[in-house]
Amino acid sequence: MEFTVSKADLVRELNLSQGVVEKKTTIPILSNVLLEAVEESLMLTATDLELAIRCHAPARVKSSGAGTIPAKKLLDYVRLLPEGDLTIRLTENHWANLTCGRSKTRIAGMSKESFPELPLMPEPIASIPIGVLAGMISKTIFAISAEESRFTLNGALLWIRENLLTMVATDGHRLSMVEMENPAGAATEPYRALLPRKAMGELLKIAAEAPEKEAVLSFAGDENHLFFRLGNRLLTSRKLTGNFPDFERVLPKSHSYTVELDRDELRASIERVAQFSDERSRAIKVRFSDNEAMLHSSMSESGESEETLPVEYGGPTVEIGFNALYLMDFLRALPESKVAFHFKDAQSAGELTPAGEDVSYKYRYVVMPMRI
Amino acid sequence: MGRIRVLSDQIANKIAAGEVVERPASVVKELLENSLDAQASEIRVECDGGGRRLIRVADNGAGMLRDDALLAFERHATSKLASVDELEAIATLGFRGEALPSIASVSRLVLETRSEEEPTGTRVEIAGGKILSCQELAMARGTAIAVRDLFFNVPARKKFLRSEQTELTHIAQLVTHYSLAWPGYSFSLHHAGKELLSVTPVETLRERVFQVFGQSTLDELIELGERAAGGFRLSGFISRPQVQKSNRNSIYLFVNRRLIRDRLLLHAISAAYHNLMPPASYPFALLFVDCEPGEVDVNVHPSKTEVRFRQGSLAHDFVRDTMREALMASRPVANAPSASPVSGFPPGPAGQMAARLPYSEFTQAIENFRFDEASNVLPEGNAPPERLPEYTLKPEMPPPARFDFGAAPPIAVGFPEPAPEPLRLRVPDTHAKLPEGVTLDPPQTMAQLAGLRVLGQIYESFILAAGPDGLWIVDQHVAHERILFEKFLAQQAAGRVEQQRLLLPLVLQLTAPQEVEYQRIADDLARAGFETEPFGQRTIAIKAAPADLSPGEIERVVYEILEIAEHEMRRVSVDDFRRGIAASLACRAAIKINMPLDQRKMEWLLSELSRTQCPMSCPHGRPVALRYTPRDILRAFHRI
Repeated sequence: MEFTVSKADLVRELNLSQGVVEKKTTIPILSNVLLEAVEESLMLTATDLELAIRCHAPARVKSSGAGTIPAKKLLDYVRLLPEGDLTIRLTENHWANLTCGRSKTRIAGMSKESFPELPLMPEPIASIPIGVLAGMISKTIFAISAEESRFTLNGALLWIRENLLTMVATDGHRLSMVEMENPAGAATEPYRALLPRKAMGELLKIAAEAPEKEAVLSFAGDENHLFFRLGNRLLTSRKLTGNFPDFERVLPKSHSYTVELDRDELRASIERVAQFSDERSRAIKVRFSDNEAMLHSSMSESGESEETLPVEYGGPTVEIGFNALYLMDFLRALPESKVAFHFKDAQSAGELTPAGEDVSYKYRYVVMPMRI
Repeated sequence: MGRIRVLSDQIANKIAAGEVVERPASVVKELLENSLDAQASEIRVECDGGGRRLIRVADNGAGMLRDDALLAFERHATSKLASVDELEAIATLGFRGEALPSIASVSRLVLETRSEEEPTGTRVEIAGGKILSCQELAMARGTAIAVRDLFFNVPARKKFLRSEQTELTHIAQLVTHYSLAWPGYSFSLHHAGKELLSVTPVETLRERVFQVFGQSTLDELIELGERAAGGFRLSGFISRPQVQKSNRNSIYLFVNRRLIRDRLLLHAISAAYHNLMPPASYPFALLFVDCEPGEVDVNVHPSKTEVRFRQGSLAHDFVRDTMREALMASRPVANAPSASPVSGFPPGPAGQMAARLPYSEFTQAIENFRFDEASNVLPEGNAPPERLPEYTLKPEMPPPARFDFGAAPPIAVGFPEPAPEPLRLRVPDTHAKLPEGVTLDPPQTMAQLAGLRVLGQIYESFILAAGPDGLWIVDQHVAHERILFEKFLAQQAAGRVEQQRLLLPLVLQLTAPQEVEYQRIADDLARAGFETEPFGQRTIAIKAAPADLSPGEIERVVYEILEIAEHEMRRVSVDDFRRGIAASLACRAAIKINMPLDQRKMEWLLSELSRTQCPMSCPHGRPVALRYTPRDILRAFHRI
């Protein structure tokens, strides 16, 4: 195999594969990227058996063929090369010879025989603009459970209906749900699947690399896998198995009171007050009284802190405990500058939503209170 | 007149009662076994006052003829045995003919029975061994025996009875055991009118396990297919190694469907899990060993909880090996689906993948498996439960292979010269003063903890830190456990536990004894920060939990607390029990080993640790930190 490729193209595509290649060296071949030169292009594949990415770079192929090279070593080296073209030739015994200007390098590779085969992508189920999908991911990914033992919560629920996309994530204490119209349309049959967190992270990267925000991605799923194809990049992920909790039961039907707050003001206040909350539980109190929202936290040995924010509120005084980090997570992800805080009493779930007239989609964040 | 007399039957029965009837549960056991021997298909147990006020066992079995009903209260009267030969191979549960007269001699007993052959039933009333009345009675076929005021005439024994709860737990466990052994029969247990257990007849043991323990337990079990060797047959369920109990209460052992507590078999079970489980933790096991009645002697003790095997070591090895095989075979079904790395993507050539399966602690444990002959000492029956979490470090990669110059022969030029004497270097005097503030033998305290400089973390499990009093290695999990333990105790004492509500209530399924415990300790659970409520059908719903506990750990902690309660209720004070809860919470909430920590977090841990009252050891007694004093270090480098 021998081909010539531009350094910029190769670095860009290799970057995408970095998040996927296996970092731990349990199965050596998974630290490698599979290079396949066919006709006018170079195809790069990386996988950790949970997730796989396949992308392409234009190349002048002198002789076609395939081989694998350690992904990290290759990227670290190629990144240091001057801009320009780079020729890679694979020899019989799996060595890769790299030539670029006056630089000549040999990297030990491995046979492609033991590289896992990727499942084939079936007929697409839906088309989704990458910008819409990325927006939904960044609005939910933070609520995914970090506990590995609860694997059904180690990802988000993706629910595709005709012209409607829903994504939900929860860790048992809070739940984030976003629902958007799908301008690209699609899906004749409703489709539900659990998308692992790592795949969501890689989709965000692909979105950032996408040539334009309106680019439309095709989505497909088979029994065990989910497929996302954008142009000539394909991300394949194992589905998470198990039943996602019945999230609609958790969403409050109604709230007694609602106040509107400025996102940045609220976030800054919480951040300051939380300095004096317990290192682990991060508990702060939020008190709504006559036209005022007060944040308070205290630690018996190190001190206490309090801030007030003006709000329009005429209901009874209600004091609720929350984990400050949970509130901050949402405020960081919220694109709108106004936030609506819905609540009932100290025992009931609180809910945060974007506020303002121009909110054209549904974004609900339910946080369970704490007793402090 | 001679001094030696033959004792009257009444006294003899009372003496026998001392052996057979130890506590209310023994009465239930004898009566249940009678019912089962009488081919009853429906058995109903009622009790009150933990079995002291009332025990009533009613069945729809064969019943007794009127004459037999009276004869049954004579000593050594039984329908189950006719000749000495039969004693060699006992196929019924009972055979001694002692139970009924013994029970009758220490209680007020009412027997109601009717057999198929007679048109009317019989009612016999006995108090303290004396027959008070015998009447005709109209009733359906079967037998009902009501035992009231147990030990009313044996004050000494009565004094030794434990609390109502304890005795009830024993009864609940007993009925649970028998319901497992006889899935085709219907059992129910009521205490003071409240239903504790009720199971309808089912076809298979699997269904009965589901009825009694619920789906979540069933999911954690491996079913042993029926296996046979050397005249023994073994079947039942055992738990995966990750299920760990702190006592042997979850080991249910039956020999020829008779519930036993046999040290030989208990040891075989421990041996099967050897190295798969930390010491002092026990699996869930439901084992049925069947063999020819002649192979086993149940006539060891009147309570019949011990057996002797004719070929003891054969039985031991058979049980151990069968269980071990099943455990190993179950390996591919590890709990997390992500743990099977090859099922999704078709692998490359088979040989390669298999050889390179990811390293896992479990496979390693299997590889390390070696039955330690030295540990063949039979385990202590009532060893205190020690809850030591499993410690397994991630494997360190071996150092990369190096060229070995040492082994190469020296390059000879001309004549080989005699090897010169190795040069003895004079040790130059580089002893310089240690920096200010460093003393060789600092006092044995942990006062300096807060001022330590964190150097880093090793194995992602231990914090290395240095200070004027030496080099420290701190176990991050144990350190955090200690911090949280004291925090929980303080919060509980102040009644200010930080509590996080759950999005969806967590529903837990309890066994009958666990439910009894739950009702006893519900207040303590609430005090510890759990908001729970009964959810019917032996389930409870958890609506809120202590804030430090991540949602995935809640279930385990609650079960663990119930286990502590179950095991310790007989001996610990309320305070000790609360400390037990705090220790359990702290252990589960603490950061684990094999977890990378950043510098700030490590510094925080050390400074918090220094503020605890007892930073030396964790609530389970393990040390928190090791220290190398300047003297240790200097001596090791031969500088002093």
